[in-house]
Amino acid sequence: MQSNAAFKRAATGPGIKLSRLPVAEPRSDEALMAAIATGDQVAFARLVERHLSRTVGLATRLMGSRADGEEIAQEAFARVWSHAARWRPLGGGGNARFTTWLYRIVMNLAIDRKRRPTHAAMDDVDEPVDEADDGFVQIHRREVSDAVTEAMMQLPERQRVALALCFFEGMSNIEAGKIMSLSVGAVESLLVRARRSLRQGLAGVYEELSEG
Amino acid sequence: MNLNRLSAILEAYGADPERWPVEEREPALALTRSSLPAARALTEARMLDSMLLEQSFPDIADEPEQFTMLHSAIVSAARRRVVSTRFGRWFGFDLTPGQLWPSVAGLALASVLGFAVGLGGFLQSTEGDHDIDEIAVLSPIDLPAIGQ
Repeated sequence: MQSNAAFKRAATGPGIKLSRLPVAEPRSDEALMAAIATGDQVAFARLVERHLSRTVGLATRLMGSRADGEEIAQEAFARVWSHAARWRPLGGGGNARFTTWLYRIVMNLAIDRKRRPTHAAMDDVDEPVDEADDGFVQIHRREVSDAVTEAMMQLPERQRVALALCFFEGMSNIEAGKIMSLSVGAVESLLVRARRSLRQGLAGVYEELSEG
Repeated sequence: MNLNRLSAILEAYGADPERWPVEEREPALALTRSSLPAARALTEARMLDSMLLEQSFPDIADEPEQFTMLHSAIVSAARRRVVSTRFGRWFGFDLTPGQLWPSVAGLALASVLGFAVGLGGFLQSTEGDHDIDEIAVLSPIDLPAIGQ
């Protein structure tokens, strides 16, 4: 696991700072990927800037931890950089949009990582503090959030991925199917099983909410 | 659209119509307005949704410092690869993104050839040392000693 200190060391290196990126017309992901394939670091910096937040978000959902999610995102973008020349855009001999390819990389990395023994604690997730809430509400929300995370982590990998893509990332079943290399029907079936398992796993919290 | 299909949709995608398959959205919504069991099923699905949406992770986009740090780490790592690429080019290898495999294959071939040439040279030099030993034995310097 890469610590914050490691990030700081890397960040102080001779990389391209966000503020130094030249202002230009927004280029499509496909155009940026074509430039990255020739070794264009500015194009790479732009692509990372555009997709970093969502990539970390998806990886965090799949891993159950922000720290792990950030690591997965780093690895995923390293692969984007290394394999840019191999990627073919939709309609240009390829069969996937850039984001489909990126999220597939994230999914595969997360599944690989989950299969390895872990030593990361789920408690390392920092919850945002909502000052509008009182302490009791915050504690309750934290408990529900932790219970959901735990239940999500108990799901079989493909069910968790399907739920993360469709429910949390708001992708259509068609997009999720492309990322997971599954039919729409198979994605729907995974979602049904995932939600049923979650309902059972969260029965206690569920009853509490029903009564409240 | 019937209650069974609506239940399947709710089971899979939850209560938010935005998540439902586009082509089934309107008929499904119409059913929830016209049928009491359908409306109940929708309420039930909302309950699970609200619980799942309680799962919150801080969005890195809301943390500019952390975002910049992670962004810089990723771009710096790519830059380090470029530096090693240039280093590689001095030795005749092209390590630009997507060209790594040919370069690795070239490096492996060069290593094998280097090993073969080195081994051949070593064997040759061993044979040469043997000849030198023989010559040394028959060296004219030693001949008088033989004669004695």
